[in-house]
Amino acid sequence: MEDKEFREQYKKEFDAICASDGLKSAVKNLKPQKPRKVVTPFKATIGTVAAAIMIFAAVSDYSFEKDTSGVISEKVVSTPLPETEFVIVEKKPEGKTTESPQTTQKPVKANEAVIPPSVNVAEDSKTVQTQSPEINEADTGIMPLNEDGPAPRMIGGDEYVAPTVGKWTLEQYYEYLGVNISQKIPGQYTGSDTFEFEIGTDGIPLDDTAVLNFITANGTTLRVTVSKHVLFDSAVSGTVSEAGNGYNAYKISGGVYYNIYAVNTTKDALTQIISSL
Amino acid sequence: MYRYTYDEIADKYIDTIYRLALSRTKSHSYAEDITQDVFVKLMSANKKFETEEHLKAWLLRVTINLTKDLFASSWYKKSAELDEDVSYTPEEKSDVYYAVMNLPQKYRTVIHLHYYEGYSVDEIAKIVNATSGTVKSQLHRARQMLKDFMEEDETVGR
Repeated sequence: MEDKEFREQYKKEFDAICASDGLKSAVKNLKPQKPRKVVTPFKATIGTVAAAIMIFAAVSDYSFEKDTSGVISEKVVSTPLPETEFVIVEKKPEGKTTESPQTTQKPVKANEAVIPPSVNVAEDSKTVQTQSPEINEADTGIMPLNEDGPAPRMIGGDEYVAPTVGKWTLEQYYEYLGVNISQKIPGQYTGSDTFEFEIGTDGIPLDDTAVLNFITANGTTLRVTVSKHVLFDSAVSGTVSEAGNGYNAYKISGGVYYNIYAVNTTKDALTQIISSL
Repeated sequence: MYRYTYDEIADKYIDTIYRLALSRTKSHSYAEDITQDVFVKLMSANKKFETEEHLKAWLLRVTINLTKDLFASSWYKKSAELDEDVSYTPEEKSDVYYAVMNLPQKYRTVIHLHYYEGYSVDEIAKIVNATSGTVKSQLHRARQMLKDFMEEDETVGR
């Protein structure tokens, strides 16, 4: 068969292969959570403290005007500080006063003053814009990676500077996530011990997604896709559905995104696993 | 700087990604998973693209990397034998399709990028992160194997 004839036949075969409507819909529905109201870590802390005082006053029948006793009440209710908040940071572009402020969203701890770089996603159009990174590694709180940068390459005639690649151990990754997933999942970890990430010029992974594999004593295999980016609408968090040969579950907990694909298990068992995350 | 919307890219490249993922994994369910993961990466990555061609090359490279991660996972190794194999798909396919699906995975990739996506040897080398010599050699070897498969089929069919 001639090269040209082979190309035509091969193209014809693969032209007939298309992503299913379900996949198209799933891909279209991938989107970050809607940004919340503009709030800074400092304001969030003040707000939380204020809320705690109000609750405290309410349950103790405490009067702000008549504080004479010194003893308020035996009933104490405290509102814990949220461990992780999505902080929207308003930021004016330097040297430009006519443009509206850009808004970025990234999960950060509520008591850390971090200005995160991020993909800007306009909710209405999902227009993905990029913003010049203006932070360094120290700002992110992420530990430095072992860098091993490949050389710039050319693709399609345009220069493409490949991102630096760095490695994390499983422990380093858990530290970054702020949760030891091996302790959360009831099974033996069978996945990789190290993870490679492409690191942007801002010193943080372009994508922090990792796939962690576990097997339980009952023979259930669990493929847990994890990331600190919120990758789906929170409405599906906590849901379990049939997928392939098993079940798929979504969960957002503590600012960490979990997508679990489980084989050789029941829906109830998987529901129980995600409820413990 | 190339400006794009997520929806535009999803509409335009979902099939491209799915086909490459299918060609590499030979499994519809894995190809679907990989395709979703590629778009998750696109959404979460802080990437600037100079041109649309640059974006497409990045998508293809991410597809290849994600399938490599899949092949390396012990979960895949344990479950691979239970998964569907599209070389035995019940749909009517040509000899070309079956012959390509019988090739080793690395050969399927270069064949797909060259014959379907129309990339040159040098462009494929950049996408798969290999030297041009390696890609040229893989293409040559793949063509030779395809020729052998198809001649064998013709002999059996007689």
